[in-house]
Amino acid sequence: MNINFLSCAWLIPIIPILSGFLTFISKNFVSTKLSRFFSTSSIGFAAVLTYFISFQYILSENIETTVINKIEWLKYGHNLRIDLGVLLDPLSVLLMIVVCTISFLVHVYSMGYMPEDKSSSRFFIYLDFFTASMLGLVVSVNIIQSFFFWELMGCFSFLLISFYYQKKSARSAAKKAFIITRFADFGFLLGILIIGYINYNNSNELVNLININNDRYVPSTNLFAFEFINNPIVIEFFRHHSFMYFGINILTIASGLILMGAFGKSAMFPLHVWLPDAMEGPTPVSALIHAATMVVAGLFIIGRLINIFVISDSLMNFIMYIGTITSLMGAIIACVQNEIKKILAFSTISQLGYMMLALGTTSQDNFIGYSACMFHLFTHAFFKALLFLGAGAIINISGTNNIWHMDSNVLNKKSLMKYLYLIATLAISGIPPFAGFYSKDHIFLAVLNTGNNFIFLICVCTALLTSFYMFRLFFVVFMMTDKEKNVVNTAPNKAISTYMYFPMVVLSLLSIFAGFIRVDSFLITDTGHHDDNYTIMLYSIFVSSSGLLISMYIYLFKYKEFFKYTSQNSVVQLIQKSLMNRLYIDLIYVFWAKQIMFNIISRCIALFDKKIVDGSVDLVGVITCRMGDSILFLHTSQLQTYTLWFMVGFISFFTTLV
Amino acid sequence: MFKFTHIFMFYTLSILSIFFSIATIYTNKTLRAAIFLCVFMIINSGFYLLLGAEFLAVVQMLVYVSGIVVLLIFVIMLTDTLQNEDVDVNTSRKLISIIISSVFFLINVFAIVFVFPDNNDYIINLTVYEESNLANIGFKLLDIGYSGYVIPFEIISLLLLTSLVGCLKISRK
Amino acid sequence: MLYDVISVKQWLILTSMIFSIGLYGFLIKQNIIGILISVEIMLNIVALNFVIFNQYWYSDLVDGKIMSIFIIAIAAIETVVGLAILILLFRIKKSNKIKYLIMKQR
Repeated sequence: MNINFLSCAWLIPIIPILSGFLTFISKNFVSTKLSRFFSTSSIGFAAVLTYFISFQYILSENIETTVINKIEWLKYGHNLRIDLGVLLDPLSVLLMIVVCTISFLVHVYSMGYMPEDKSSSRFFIYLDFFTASMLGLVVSVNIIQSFFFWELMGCFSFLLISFYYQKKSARSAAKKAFIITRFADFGFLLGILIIGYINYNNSNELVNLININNDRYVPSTNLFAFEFINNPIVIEFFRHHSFMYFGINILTIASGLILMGAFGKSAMFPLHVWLPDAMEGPTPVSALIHAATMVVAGLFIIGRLINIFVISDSLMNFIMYIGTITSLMGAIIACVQNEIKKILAFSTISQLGYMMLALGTTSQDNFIGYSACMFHLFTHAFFKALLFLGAGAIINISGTNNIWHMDSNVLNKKSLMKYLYLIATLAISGIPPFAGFYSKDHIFLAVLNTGNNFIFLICVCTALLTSFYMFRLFFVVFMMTDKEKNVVNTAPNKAISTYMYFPMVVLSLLSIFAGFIRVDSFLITDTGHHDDNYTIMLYSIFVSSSGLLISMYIYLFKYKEFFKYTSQNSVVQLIQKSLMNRLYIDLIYVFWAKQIMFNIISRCIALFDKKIVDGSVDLVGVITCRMGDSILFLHTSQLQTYTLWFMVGFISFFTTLV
Repeated sequence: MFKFTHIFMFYTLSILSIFFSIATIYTNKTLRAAIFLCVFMIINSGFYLLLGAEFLAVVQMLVYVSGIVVLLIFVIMLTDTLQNEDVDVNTSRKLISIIISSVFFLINVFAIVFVFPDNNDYIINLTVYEESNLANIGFKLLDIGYSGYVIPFEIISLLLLTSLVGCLKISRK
Repeated sequence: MLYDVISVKQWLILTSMIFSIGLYGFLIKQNIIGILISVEIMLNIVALNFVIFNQYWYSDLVDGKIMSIFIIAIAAIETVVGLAILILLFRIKKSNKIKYLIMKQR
């Protein structure tokens, strides 16, 4: 093909925006079917375009960063420009493929899942705009553009989570998600500002350095651009000791603040509380946002700025520890949840913790952790989306969320559904040859490379728990007999339409074969190779299969004894209760917000606002009125009084003259 | 001799005019005030004669005395204020008005006494000039040159016409 | 000095005296026609002032006299219009206590 697709890359974020906009303005006078079809097909077109572009990119001669088609948006000075554009490099191409694929499949699924009424066109509009903002984030050229699309994503996820806005729980869940991510974005913005500030202050020296050391092509000297920030010359310049504040390098301070923003979006340990509640949204939303796209935005931004993160080892260690805590916590809580979507939500938290853990093992010399994280991101998107879409189908059939209330006879009849779900569960547990095995293997390798055996142990435990609770889900839903659960036949048996099957089939194929794609050699140039390390492979196979066997033993064979034991043992009951309450972290947040922030701090500020700020404005009004009242006596309507005052003025004036 | 007459007439007329103006203000009855005003106008025309403006003296008599005061008396009689008399005002108002007027007068006197020196420029010039006669008034009134007064003349004539027509319209039944 | 010659000072003191009398009358009168009469006094004296200045400083010119003619004309017009409005007002109100008409807001 002689067409240069790379120059059309700017179309990719534009197409969903256009389709969303067109759907919006034609909402009232085209039929719902047509608008849904148009929306889905435009995302399909964008996906196909993405595939062509990425193929051309992969097969091109030297895979280096290509910046295409940026337009100048705001210009403050010669070097201080904010552009909007499209940047293609391995990371953004990878994520672009993931986002477009998952978004297209979710669109197709929604055509079968969402009922055909007026509100579903709203749904498709939001989905389109959300996809557009995620794509805009992924291909962003500079850090300001990424912040802009980051916020847009937060806005559209808010709208999507509160899609069923008539329910109070949906509204409060959306509020919680938005407030927590917005609070985290405060740190993000501070980090951006610090980077911009130090770049601007030293812009002369930096530009001179770049222009001297470069003979291939003139790189961007735009102070916010990723090319500039990630440039090794720039980073080397800032490692000088004059940029140390409190013993910490200024770039580390900035990256720590950006980290706060990434933690909020990617649901890491203290800021994870919004993700389980965000399951109030419709299931395709959960598949798109909370499996594949939005929650990986934090990982993406850390990956994008990885060059300034790896300066400080302690920061990377911090990331690693937080990732570990998150993954372990998510896995433990997921073991006791009873609702299918909550299990999947905590599973997402746990897998995100894995990815963050892998990213935290990156150091200046080896980038294996970085590639392991992105590889796991790639495969996780597929099988998690499949799990969520399947969960939606299951909920449609059974009419209930709770796994103990589902009728497995009915579900077993839909054998294609069952096998697809089995494939997804095998993939997430890390059973070879499915996709999850390869990516988890990479993560184990990256962790071992740091030499930190304790983290490795926790990693292995988490893998065991992952396999355990996922198979618990599978066995309880599909294979447990009716007498062990209390089945509630609440809803009629809704059929699963072809629109819903098609994406699930595609995703299952991807979950099987995605592991064979060599993402790591695509991402980084030197992968210190690991095919020789068979012991790790054996570890992971052992761990995953033991999780499978344990859950099979408990839930298929010996459930009655297990249930009797746990319901009588008080320690187990206590642990179970605290885990069902998600370790009370939510309660701490509510306490902090309600008692401390609202009652104490907000009341003081509100009092100040009402009495002093409003009061001073009122004071101005009162003074004016009083002054007016005090000279009101002058306004008699009598000519003679006016003449009197006139003469008084005249006399006083001329007295001074004379 | 001429000078003595001049001085004598000045002082007589000034005392009379002051007396009649005070009388105009002081009466309660409106018709009496109008009559006193009439006499005051006549004395004023005497002043004009003293200052060598004969034309103006005659104009004053014609327009003011036989025009305006008569009109005033007509209106007084037409509008039934003949029967009603003015009431006394409260003393505070009287006090303030007296203070204001007298202070105004005192400022004027102060300005006059201390600004104008006693030299020959400020003594009346009793020569009758060729150029300052009635014919020149007429010429000046219709002069279209730089210091001619034709424009105000025409405008005032227009104004007179307008007021005539307007007042006719206003007071028509 | 007072008996030798009449200087401009004496004329001006006279006019300012009568002017302030007219001013006092303007401020004090309850009757609307009394106010008009006071205004007439003041206008008259102003015209006299012009002629005074004409005679004392510009004896060969006639500008002051012309000014006085204009003032007389304007005063006439103003009185006529005022009285016409007054007649209309009295016709409308038809009250016995007409002279308190305008002053009622006190």
